[in-house]
Amino acid sequence: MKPLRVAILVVLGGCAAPPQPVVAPAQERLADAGARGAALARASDNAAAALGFQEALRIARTIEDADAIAVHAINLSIVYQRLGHYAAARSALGVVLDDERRRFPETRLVQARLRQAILDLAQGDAPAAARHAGTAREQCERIGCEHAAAILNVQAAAALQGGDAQQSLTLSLAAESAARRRDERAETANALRNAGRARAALGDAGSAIAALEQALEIDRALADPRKILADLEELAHASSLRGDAEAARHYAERARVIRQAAGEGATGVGESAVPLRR
Amino acid sequence: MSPAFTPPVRFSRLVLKVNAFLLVALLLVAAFLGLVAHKQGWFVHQTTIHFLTPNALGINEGMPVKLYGLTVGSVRRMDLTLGGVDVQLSILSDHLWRMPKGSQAKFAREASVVGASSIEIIPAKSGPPLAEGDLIAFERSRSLAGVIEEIRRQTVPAFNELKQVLSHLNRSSEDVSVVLAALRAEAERLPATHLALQELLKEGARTTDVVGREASATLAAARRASESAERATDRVGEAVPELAGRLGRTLESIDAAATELRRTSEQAQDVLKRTQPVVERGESALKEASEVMGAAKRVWPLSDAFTQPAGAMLAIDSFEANGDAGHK
Repeated sequence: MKPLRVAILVVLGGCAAPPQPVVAPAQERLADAGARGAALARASDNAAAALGFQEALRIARTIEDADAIAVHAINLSIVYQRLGHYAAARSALGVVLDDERRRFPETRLVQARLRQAILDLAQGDAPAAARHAGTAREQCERIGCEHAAAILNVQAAAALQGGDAQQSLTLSLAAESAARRRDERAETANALRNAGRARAALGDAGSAIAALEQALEIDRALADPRKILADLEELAHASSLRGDAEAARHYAERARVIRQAAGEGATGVGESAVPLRR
Repeated sequence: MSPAFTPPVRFSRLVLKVNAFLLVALLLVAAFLGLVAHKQGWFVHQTTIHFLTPNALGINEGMPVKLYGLTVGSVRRMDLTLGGVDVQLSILSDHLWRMPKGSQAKFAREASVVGASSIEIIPAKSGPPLAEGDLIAFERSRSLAGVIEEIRRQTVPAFNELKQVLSHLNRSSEDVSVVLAALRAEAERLPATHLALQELLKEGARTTDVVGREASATLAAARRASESAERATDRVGEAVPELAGRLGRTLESIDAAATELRRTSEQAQDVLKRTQPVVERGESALKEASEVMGAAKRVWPLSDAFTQPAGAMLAIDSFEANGDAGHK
C-alpha cells in the first residue's frame, strides 16, 4: 500500500504546477509589443509591425534589457528592409553594433552582423557583405552559433555577385552541409539555390537544374511563394542555358502564374500581399 | 415354563460400554468446541471499540482488523445509525495498549489496490490506551476506481494540453523535423555545459579547501553575481594575499562557466523562438499558440524544458540578401 501511496504522491506532485512567477508590467508590455510586431510582420503588414517593434524597443530601453533591445532592433532592421527603408534598417542595427557600453549577448551580435551583411548584399555592396559576413562567421564559430548556414549562404551570394562563381559554389556546398546538419530546410533550399546559380554561372546547366529542382521541392514544402518564384526563374534561366527552350518556357510560365496570383492578392483579390522579389 | 433370558456373552457390560463411548464422544465434541472457541478467541478478553462511517461499502462482519499488518481483532458488528453505519471492532485487549486514544481506523487493502481488504489501525503517537466503547475516527482509503479517477482527473488536463501542442506541431509537419532537430542539437550541447559546471564546482571545492570558510563564502557570493564575487576577491586578497591569485583564477573559471551557461541559455531561447513560427500563422494563431505554449510550460514534465524567451524574434533568412525588397 505504501509504495502505491508514494507513487501516487510522486505522480501528483509532478503534475502539480508551481505558482506562476509574477511578470512585471513592463515585461508584459514588452512581450505584448514584440508579439504583436512579429504577428504583423508574418502577416506581411510590415509598416504596422515596425510600430510594434519600435514600441518594444522603447520599452526594452526603459528597463535596460540588453537582449530585448538587440532582438527588437534586429526585428526592426528586418521590417525596415522589407519596407525598402535601408537607412532606417542600418540605423536599427547600429543600436546593437555601435553601442560599446552595453554588453549584448554574443548571439545577438552575430545576428546583427549577419543582418548587416544581408543589407549590404541586398543593396549590391558585395565586398562589404563579404566582410561583415566574414566577421559574423568568426564570431559564430567561436560561440558555436546556429547561423553558420545562413552566414555561408550570404558569403556564397556575395562571392557570386562579386564574380567568383567557383568560390560561391564552394561556400554554397558548405552552407548546404551546415544546414542539413541542423536540419534547417529553409537555409538548405537557399544553399541549393545558390549552388544552382553558381553552377549555371560556371556553365554546368545540368547540375544547376538538379540543385534548383531540389531547392524548389523544399520551398514548395515550406510554401514560401517568394522562394518558389526565385527557384522557377532560376530554373527557366538554367534550362535556357542548356538549350531546352520548352522546359525554360514551362518554368517561366509557372513563375508568371505565381507572380500574377501574388499581384491579385496585393490588390485585394486574394490574400494579403505576397512579398515577391528577386 | 419358558426358560429365563440370558443376554449373549458378547454384550456383557453393554451399558458400561455405551456410557464410555458416549463419554468419549462428548469429550471429543467438547475438545473440538474448545479448539474452535480458542481459535475464535472466545477465551481471550476482547475490547469493543467502534467507528462511524457514512458508507460501509467493502466492510464486512468478520473482516480482520490489523495493527502494523498483524491481525489484532475483527469487525464484530455493523449497525445502521443516523449518520451512516456504526462499525464495532473487537480488539484483543492484550494489544490495546498499543492503540492510544486518537488512533484512527482505515479501510485498506493488503496488496496495494487489489489485495484482501481489512481495517487498519493507525495508532496515535501517544496517550492513554483505548477503552471499551471508545469511538475512533475512520478514514476510507480510495478504492482502485477512486485511485484511477483521481489520476485521470489530474492527468487528463495535462495530456489534453500536450495533445494540443502536438496537434499544432502536426499541423505544420514540415517544420516539426526542424524544431526537433534544433532541440536535439541544443540538447547535445548540454553535456559540455555540464562538464564546465563540474569543473567549476571542482575548482571551487579545491579552493574552498585551501582558503577555508572565508573563501567558501566568497565562492558562494561569486556564484550569485560576478560583481559581488570580484569585490569578495579583493577582500580575500587583502586577508590572504598568498591565496588571492588562486581565488582569482577560480573566479575566472566561474565566469567562463557562467558565460557558457548563459550562451547555452540564449541558444535554447533561440530554438524556442523558432518553435513559435510553427504555430503562429497570423494574429489569431499567435494567440492560440501562446496559450498552448503557456499551458505546455506549466505541464510537467515539459515545464523544465521551457524558458521564457526575451521576445518575438523574426527569423533571419539569408534569402533576404537576394535583392530589393520592394514591398510595403
